[in-house]
Amino acid sequence: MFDNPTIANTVGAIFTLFIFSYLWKENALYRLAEHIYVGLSAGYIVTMNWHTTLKPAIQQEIAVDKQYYLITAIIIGLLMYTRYFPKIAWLARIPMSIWVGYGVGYVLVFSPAPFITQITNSFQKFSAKYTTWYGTNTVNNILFFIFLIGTMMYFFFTVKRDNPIMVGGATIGRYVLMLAFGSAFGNTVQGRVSLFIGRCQYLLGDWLHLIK
Amino acid sequence: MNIFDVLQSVDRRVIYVLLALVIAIPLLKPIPLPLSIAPETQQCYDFLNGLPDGGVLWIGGDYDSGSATELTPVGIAAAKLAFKKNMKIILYSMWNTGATQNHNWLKAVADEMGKQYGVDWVDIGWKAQAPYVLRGMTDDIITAAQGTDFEGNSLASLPLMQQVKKITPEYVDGILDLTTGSPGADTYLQYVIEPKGVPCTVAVTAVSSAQYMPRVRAGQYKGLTNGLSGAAEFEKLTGFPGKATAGIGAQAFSHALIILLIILGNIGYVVNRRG
Amino acid sequence: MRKELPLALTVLTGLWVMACNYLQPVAKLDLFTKTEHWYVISGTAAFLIGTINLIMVHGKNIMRRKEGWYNSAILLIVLFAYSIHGLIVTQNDPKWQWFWDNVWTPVNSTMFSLLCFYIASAAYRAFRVRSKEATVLLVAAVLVMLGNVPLGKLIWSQIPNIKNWIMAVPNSAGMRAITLGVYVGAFAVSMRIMLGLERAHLGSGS
Repeated sequence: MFDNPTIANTVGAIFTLFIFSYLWKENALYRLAEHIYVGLSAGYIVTMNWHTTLKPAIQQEIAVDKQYYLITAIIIGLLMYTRYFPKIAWLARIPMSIWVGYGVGYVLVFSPAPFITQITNSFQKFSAKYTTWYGTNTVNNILFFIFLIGTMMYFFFTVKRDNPIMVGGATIGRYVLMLAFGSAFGNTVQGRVSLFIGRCQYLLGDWLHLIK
Repeated sequence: MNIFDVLQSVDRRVIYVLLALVIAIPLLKPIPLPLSIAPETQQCYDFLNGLPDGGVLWIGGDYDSGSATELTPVGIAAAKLAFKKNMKIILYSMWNTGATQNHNWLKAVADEMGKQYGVDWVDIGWKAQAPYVLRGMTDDIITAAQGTDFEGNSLASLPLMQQVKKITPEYVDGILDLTTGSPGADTYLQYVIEPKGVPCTVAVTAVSSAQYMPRVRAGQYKGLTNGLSGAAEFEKLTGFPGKATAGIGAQAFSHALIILLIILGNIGYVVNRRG
Repeated sequence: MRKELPLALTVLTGLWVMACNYLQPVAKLDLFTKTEHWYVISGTAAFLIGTINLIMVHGKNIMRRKEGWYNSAILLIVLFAYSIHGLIVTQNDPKWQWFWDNVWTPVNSTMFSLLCFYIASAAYRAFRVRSKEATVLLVAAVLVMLGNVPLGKLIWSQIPNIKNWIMAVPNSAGMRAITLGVYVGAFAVSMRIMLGLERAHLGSGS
C-alpha cells in the first residue's frame, strides 16, 4: 500500500475532493478532512522539533560534547509549561521575556542595514542616460522620487493639509497607492488562480493521467 | 429585474464552475501562447547563469505545498541549470512543512542528472528556530545546524560540507531563495545579504511580488520571478520547460474570465447608477 | 519581582545582543553564536505548548459532547497516533512520511486553492468603479493581470511594458514608502520594549 503510487494519489485525490466540496456548502466530509489535517500538523511539529533539534541537543551536545550550558536553556524553555498551573504561572514570563528581548535585539541590530539601503537607493542619479521604456533612467528616477515623497506625505496625518504642497503631495500619494494596490490585487489574482492550477494538474495529471 | 441587475448578480456557483472549466480545459488541450520575459525574471536568470562553473549555489526552500505550484518549477529549473554548470547545491528549508517536499524535488533532479549526495548536493533540512540557525550558519554551518542533515547524517562526514564552512562570499557564490512569506527572503536580507554580502536572487509567489519589487530596484535582490508566469518565463530562459509552462495557458484564460466578470459587474453597476 | 524580573531580563537580553554586535570588547569574547544556540534550544523546549492547547480545547469538546465532538475525537486520535509513531521511528520513516505526503500535503494545497474561487467571486461582486481612485485601482489591476500572461501581448504588444513600468515605478515607490513606515514602526516598538514602556509580552496582570 505504501509503495503503490496509484493508492497514494487516490488517497490524495479523495482528500482533495473532500476539501473542494466546501465550495458547494460546508459538510461532514470537509470537516473530517480538516480535523485530520490539524491532527497531522500537530503530530508533525512534535516529531520534527524533537528529532531535528532537541534530541541531538540532549544526546550529542550535552551528553557527548559536554556543553552543559544547554541544560539551563532546556530548563528555561520548560518554564513555559508553568502557565498551566495558576500558582506558578508567573514563571512563564521569564522565558517569554528572554525571547522577546532577543527578538528586539535582533531587530535593532539587523534591521537598520536593509532600511538604510532602501533610503539611499531612493536618491538615484537624475542624470542617468535615457535607455529604455523600462529600466533605470532619468524620467523613471524622477517619477519614482516624486511618487515616493508623495506617498510618504499622504501618511503625514499630524501635519495640516492647508497648503498646496501638502494637498498636492498627498493627492499624488493617494493615486500612487491606488496604482500600487491595483498591481498588488492583479498579482494576488494571479497567485490565487495558480494554486488551483496546481490542484488541477495533480487531479488530472498525477491521479487520472489525462495530462502528461 | 433587468439585464443589468442580472449582470451584477450571477450565482457564485456558476462562477466557480466557469472558472474550473476555463482552467481545466487548457490543461487538457494546451494552446501555445507567446510568452514575454519580464525584466526582473531576465535579471534572475542572468544572475544564476553568471555564477561560476563549479561554484556553490545555496537554495533556500522557504515555502510549503501551498505555494509549490509557483515556486517548485523555478527550483527545479534552477537546480538543473546549476548542475549543468557542475555547481554544488546546498538546500536549507526554513519552513518545516516544506522540508520534505523540497528534499524530494531536489533529489529527483539530482538523480536525473547523475549527481551524488554529499559530494554534489546536500540538504541541511529544517531546524527549529530556523531564522536564528540561518544567522548562526553565517559563522559556522555545522555548529549552527547541530551537525546533522535532513536525514540525520553527520554533516562533517559529507565532502561538500567539509569545503563549505559558512555562508559567506568566500564559500557560497550565490543564493536562490524560493519564498512565500516569513521566514524567507527578508530573513536572508537581514542575516546574510546585508551583513555578509552574499548575492541573492528570489523566486516569490505572485501575492508577495509587489512588496519585493522595491528591494529588487535597490539591488538587494538580483532579480525576481513573479509567481507562475515568472516561473514559466524562467523555464523558457533556462531551456527546461516544466509544469509552469504547462499551466500558463490556463492562467491566461482564467485572467480573461475574471476581467470579463469584473467588466460585466461594472457595466451593470454604472448603468443602474445612472438610471 | 514578578514584573520587574521579566522586564529586566528583556532589557538585559536585548542589550546583550546589541553589545555582541556593536561593542568590540564584547564581540571579541565570541559568545554571540553560543548564546544564539542557547536561545534556539530554549525556544524549542517549549514546542509542546501549541499541542497541549489543542488537546485541551478538543478534549473539552469531547467531555462536554459539544456538536461535532466526534471530529475532535478523530483529531486527537490522529494527533497522538502520528506523534507517537513519529517519535518512535523518526521523521525519515517512509510510512510516517506517507501520511504527510498523501494526506496533509493535498489538503493543505487544496485549502489554499479555494482562495482562487473566492477571489474571483469577490472581484466580481465588490470591484466597482465608485470613485476616481477605485477606477485607477481597477485599471492598474486589469493591466497587471493582462501583462502577467501571454494574453496581454496578444491584445496589444505594449501591455507587458506598461505592466513592467507599473511594477517598477509607482508600485515600487508606494510599497517602499509603506515598507519604510513598517521599519520605523518596528524600531519604535523595539525601543518601547527596551525602555520597558511595552509590557504586552508579559501577559495579563502586568
